[in-house]
Amino acid sequence: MRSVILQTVAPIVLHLTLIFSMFLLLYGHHQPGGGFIAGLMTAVGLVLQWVAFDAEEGERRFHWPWEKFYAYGLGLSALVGVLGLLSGAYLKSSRFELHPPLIGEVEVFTAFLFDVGVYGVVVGVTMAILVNLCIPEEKPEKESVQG
Amino acid sequence: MIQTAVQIALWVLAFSIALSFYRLAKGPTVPDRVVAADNIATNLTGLFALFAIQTGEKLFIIAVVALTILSFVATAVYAKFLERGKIIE
Repeated sequence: MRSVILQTVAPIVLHLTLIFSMFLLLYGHHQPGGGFIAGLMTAVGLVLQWVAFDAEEGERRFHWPWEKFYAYGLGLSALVGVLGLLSGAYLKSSRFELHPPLIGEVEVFTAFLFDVGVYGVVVGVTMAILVNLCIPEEKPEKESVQG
Repeated sequence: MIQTAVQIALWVLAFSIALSFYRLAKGPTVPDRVVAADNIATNLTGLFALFAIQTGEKLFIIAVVALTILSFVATAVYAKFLERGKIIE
């Protein structure tokens, strides 16, 4: 059965969650926020697509390699810690100041790359679990043996 | 003046959450409990907004947005589970 209201609202909520998760990802250096909660918000918006439509439709709309998300995310997070060996700040965060036009001074931490990696891990793991749980069970072998 | 209004609203929302907890604990059917849980989440959102006014902290506004999205998704999933018995078809 199709729920028209949920199917209309779900893409809008996906946009809201994506915007909010990007905000949390960029916000979380000195304030609450960061990669984990941003990844969770993105995953919530994506899971709602699976709930509103069925699993096939969700697979058709978001046919992305979720396993690569957490593989590369974990690699990026580990790489940021190890890269500090070169600058003598092993597993520490370095701080840069950028001066992009029109915005002014922007603080950039290498911990942001770590947060991006955590974001990829959280989104990838959640969606990979969801997609693999939605694969329908195949039981034709038992029936054929009995028949 | 605004602080007095916020205090009164906080007490009202706390009383509303207490009533919702009664329904959550006693509610004869599952949909009663789901509506009570949704009501608690909505009142909690208002409570956070009032805290933001009272303390002047911006962090509570972020918590309000997060809680709004999460409570909406939770209620939608609960409703679908109650109606269909299956969340993802």
